[in-house]
Amino acid sequence: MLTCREVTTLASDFLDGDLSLFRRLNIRFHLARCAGCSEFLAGLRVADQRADQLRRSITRPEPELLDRLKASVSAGLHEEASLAETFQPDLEASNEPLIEGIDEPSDERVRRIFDDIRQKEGFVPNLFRAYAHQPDVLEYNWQREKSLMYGGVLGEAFKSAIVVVVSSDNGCGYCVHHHQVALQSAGFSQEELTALSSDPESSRFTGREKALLALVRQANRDPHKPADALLARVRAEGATDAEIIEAMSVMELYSSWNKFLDVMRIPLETDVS
Amino acid sequence: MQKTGFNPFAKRVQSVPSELSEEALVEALRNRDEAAYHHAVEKYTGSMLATARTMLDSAAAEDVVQEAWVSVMHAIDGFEGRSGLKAWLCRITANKAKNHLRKHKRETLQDDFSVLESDIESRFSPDGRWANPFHGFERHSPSDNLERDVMDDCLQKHLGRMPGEHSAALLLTQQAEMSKDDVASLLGVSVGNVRVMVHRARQRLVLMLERLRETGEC
Repeated sequence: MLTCREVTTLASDFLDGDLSLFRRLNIRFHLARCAGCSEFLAGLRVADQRADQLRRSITRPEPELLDRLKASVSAGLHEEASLAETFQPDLEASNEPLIEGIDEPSDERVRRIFDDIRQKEGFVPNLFRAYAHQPDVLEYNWQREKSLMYGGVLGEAFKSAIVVVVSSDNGCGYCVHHHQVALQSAGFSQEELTALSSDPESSRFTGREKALLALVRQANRDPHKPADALLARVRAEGATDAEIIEAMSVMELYSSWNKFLDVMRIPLETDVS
Repeated sequence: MQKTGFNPFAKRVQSVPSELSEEALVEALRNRDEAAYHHAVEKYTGSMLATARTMLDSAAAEDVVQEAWVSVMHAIDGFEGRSGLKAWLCRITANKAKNHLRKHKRETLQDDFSVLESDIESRFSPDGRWANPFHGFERHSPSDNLERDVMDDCLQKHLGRMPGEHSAALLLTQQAEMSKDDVASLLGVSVGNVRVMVHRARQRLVLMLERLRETGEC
């Protein structure tokens, strides 16, 4: 025979019909003889009814709430539409690059930098071939890429994710492509890549990384909007000052490259997948 | 200068027929159709709010539902339709509500999967019989002599004090259209866990009802 403690343990399952016939009969038999357990079951029923009454009385949304939600959804849609408008492609425009990149540099310094780039990236991206027309500019741009993306305190895959999100907001297919490839080789699936820009909050990154992504995304999309709340979230997630500065710098570097690549119509490298 | 060309985000605000199929509604949401969003807000906010209210107070639940709608705009392209739109919207809401609980450090689900509350466990003698049984639930409801709003205030307070998942498990399973399987997938736990959480929530309320009746204190 079941003890009172055992009946009490099974009581909700009994009330909800989640027990086998055998168990149910055992409990019925016990209840017929036990006032304490019958009281406890009655108590559970009362608790359930009261909670149910309360639940029914509080779930109807007020009209003011519905109006507020509609206004917020409309504002979101309008913001998205105005962002999309900023990046209207001009279908009449040529696809030819404004300036051809340098394939075979004669300048010794440029050759040295190209070798360094090849060693790190496996090839010389057309971006740097364009910068090579001005060796000083090439040098400091490569230095920024090298120190930010190959060094620093944040993970390389996470920084590529920043590039994908920022560059996709800025409509730069070149940067999105290169860093999606980097993420793929870091083990990201096609579905994850697709979801990264549309819903970064559901990505595999940590809470701290997601908070940093939200911060740099707003900083890129809307630099005049106060970022205090996003910064507070980043800090609450435990990000250090160095991590915040580094994430912001990746955004800053690539948002400027996004513009340069776009205006100069620099093409993707056809021979590199 | 007048811009021409295809704009995938162009607004098409029309009136949405109320008998619109779910598939057509999802398509319209994907197309960023403002009227479709307003229609969906009218149609689904009640269920989303009910979901959030199982874990949060009224103000926090409303904020969470608003956050959820903002996410919907970004996430709708990835909606695969396997679970149905309402279940998907409620899952987004439940996840936001759980994040909110974590952020605000409310007690959430931990390793404690004991089936009995310690205040009930302690009322048994070593042989498993009641040493200190409950009284007065069978013959009359303990709220008979209490004002309804005193009772409701006290219930709200105690639902708000237990781990968010416990109150959610109890209140979600009370929704006629939700099975325990549905609740488990919404909360991201097993069905067995849902059963334990429901039982724990009811026990806390039984203890609360007893105390309210005997001492008048909540």
